[in-house]
Amino acid sequence: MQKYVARRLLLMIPTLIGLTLIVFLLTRFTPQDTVDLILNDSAGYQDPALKAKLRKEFGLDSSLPEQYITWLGNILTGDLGASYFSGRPVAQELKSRVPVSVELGALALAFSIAIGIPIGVISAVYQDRWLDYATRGVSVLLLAVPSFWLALIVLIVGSRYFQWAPPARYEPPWQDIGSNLYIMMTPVIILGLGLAGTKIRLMRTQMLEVLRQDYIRTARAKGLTEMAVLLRHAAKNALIPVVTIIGLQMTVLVAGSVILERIFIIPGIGQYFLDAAARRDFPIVQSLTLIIATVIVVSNLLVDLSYAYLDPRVKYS
Amino acid sequence: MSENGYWSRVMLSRLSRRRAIAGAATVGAGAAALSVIGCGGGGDGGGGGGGQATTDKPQDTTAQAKAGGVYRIIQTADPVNLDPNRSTSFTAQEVGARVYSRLLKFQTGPDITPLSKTTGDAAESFEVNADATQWTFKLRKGMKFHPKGPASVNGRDLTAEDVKASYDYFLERNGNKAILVDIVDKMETPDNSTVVFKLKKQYAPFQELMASSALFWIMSKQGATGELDTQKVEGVIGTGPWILDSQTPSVEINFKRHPNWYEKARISTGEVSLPILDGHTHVNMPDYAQQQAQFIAGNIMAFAVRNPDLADVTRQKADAQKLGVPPGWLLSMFYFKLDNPNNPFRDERLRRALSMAIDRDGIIEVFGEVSKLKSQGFDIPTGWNNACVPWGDGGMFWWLDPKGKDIGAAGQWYKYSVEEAKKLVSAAGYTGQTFTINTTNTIYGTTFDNQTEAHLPMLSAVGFKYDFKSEDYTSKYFPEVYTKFNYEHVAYGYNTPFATVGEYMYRLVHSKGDQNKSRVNDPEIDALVLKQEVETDQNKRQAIIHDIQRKVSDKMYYVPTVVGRWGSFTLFAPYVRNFGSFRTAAYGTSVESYPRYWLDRA
Repeated sequence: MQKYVARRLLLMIPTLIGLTLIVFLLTRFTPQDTVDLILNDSAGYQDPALKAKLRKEFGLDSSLPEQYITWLGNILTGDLGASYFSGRPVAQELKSRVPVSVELGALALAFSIAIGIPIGVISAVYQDRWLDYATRGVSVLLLAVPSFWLALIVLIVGSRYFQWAPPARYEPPWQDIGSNLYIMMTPVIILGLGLAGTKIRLMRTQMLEVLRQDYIRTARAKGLTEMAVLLRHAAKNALIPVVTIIGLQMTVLVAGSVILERIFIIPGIGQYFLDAAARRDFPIVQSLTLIIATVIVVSNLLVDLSYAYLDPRVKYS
Repeated sequence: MSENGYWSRVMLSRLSRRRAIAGAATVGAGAAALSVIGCGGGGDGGGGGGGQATTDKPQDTTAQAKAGGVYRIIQTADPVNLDPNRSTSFTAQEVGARVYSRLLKFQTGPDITPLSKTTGDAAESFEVNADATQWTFKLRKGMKFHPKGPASVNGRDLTAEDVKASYDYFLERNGNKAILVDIVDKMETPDNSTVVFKLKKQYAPFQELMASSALFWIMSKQGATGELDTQKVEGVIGTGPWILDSQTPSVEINFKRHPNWYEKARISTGEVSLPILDGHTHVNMPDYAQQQAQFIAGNIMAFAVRNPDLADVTRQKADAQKLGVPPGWLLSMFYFKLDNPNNPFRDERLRRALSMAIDRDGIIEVFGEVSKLKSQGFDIPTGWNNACVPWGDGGMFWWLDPKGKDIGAAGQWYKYSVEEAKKLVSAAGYTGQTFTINTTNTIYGTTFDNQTEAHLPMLSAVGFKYDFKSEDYTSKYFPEVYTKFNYEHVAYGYNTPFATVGEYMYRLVHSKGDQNKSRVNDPEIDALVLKQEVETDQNKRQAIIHDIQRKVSDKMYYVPTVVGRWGSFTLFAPYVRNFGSFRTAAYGTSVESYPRYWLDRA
């Protein structure tokens, strides 16, 4: 197991280096010059001296390999650079924003698990009865409805019929946990519902398969309660593909949070990333892409490792 | 600041994010264009210009005002930088406008046409020499910095040294300096309360530049020389009416009143120093549905509603107050590569024919839904751009109506007439040669694209044959067509709004103008452009500028369209007062309007 983990961790290094290279080159080859965007020179008027000065300040006057190596070197020493536009250090921004996005993502994931897995189990247990049809319908609906659309519906219905809108402010949990949860509630539910659809479908399918297995019949024959059979024997085995999906959903989670953070005024990395990408603010885009990619790679590793826990037949060597 | 039309808001907020413009507010003129940019970041209707505003309650209610309260409105984008001398972004300029001072500002009031008169801000008075080449500003006595930050700045008086350092810093770091670099030879500070600008040439409207809310901002010497970090909340210290109190990026930015600001007013409790409000908060809300929901729910006090939603939102929020104004100053036009000897549009008859082929009222009616809105009780102002000065909020003093009698004989070329256009096409000997029309469809949004395409069948109807090339804005249209004038025959798009009418004159139609996209080279127009630059009498200058508009219209050097030339409404919470009475434009709203806003509620 340790050997496997070590090998996977080592494999992460070339993956991430390759990623840094792709991200670096993509940002450099986007059309329009960052310095032009910063200066917003009126057409026809250019100040070459100021441009050269800014280029030098940002290190954009050196060759691409030099820029790449400098950036990589800085990252290894924990220096993520500073925004070209605001001058604020990226690390400082991330310090306040990453926990917000993590909270949003974690709560949404937890919410999706909390509703997705039980509903999936219930759906399987009541196969082909009205409850099953209803949950299947709901899960298809959740899969089909994009989170931004759901967000708009909440806003429109809330304001039109109840004169209500989600709070237009943000409060960190360490200041007022109640207020924070109230603020996070709407985006968490919307994001979570989107993620739950897949889990309901998958859990139902897996449960149906597992419930037909011989060992389930044996468990029942041993006189175990139906609840014990379902939860201890069936659900645990049915969870393996669901856990895989949870790992894969990390990307959906990141993408979904970008939109929802924007709509619901949540100061996470989503809005920050979106603005930075639009402005070609390289230090932010590069750092965030790297961080998000690392999170996804690590979460996939964790998913792989969780198989061993969920299924004793899985052995890593 | 978002009293302008929705189309303009959408289009210019996109535009401005890429190219915030150089320049300054002008007397009776174009800073409204900036207000559109400004409104991209605000959700308020405090700005405006010379157009006829439709308001529910346009009275000055200052005498009944109660002090206190926080005005809570929308900003559509986070400030990219808190230092307006370092960043030309409209978001940075808006922050600057709230916190820092200019030498002059624009007067506002119920009976004052927005942007028509300058008055003192950091400068109490100014003198100009006989030939308008030397401008001497006397600083206001007791102009205090905000009570925050280190002792070297905290609450001290503003000095000429601060102004000089700020100007040098602006010249060193700002991309909007073109117009001042072009005009100003040097700035001197003979004593601690006097600032002298010596100009390279006679420039009568220099006071407009000094009142501009998009040029240089007066910081402390410590801020301008790097002793303070002006990109951090703690380092943002100015002499303006609002103190930057806090910022939560992506959420909100908070300002509180400067207790020692110079302007005073008599309210219900006696004379107080302005602002009347305790502060204002700008909540980051780029999403329109969120803005609408928050306004209806009562969490936001002003909302620039889109015209199609007007009836619905006002039904849901029946007590909302309405402020309707024309759109911002924005010219959309066909322009012509007149220095290409093979361009058939060197023949003015073809340019006139192109203009006559356009059904401007039809476009306004279809896209602006004017009749429908009127039937719902919303009287939307509409108007036409002319060939070199746009119709719109803030620019009315200078604009000559293409449909009016003052435009003279040139008015005939604006009339929609397929038959007359065909005659001109035929007289010019045009026999169906294909010409190119370069434009872009990747930046201004589908509303612009749809309206652009609506012109094409009109051109075909008079016999024009064209190759319509819609190109990527960033890689092709802006750098090549718009900036370097690398196109073959005809191009189409917006003109980055100028802040002063003088810029429309010089930069757009003078033979040496850097934005002379049609390559106009007309000695008569050149002479008039230079003449208006040295005319100190405002009415006489207006007459010259009208003359230029007549001549440019007659030659149709630019064929203007009417994209987005209809107004829109900003809705206010029922208890907001004075929003319609102290209207201005550009980023000046924070200084020229907000200090008199008040909240009429317990």
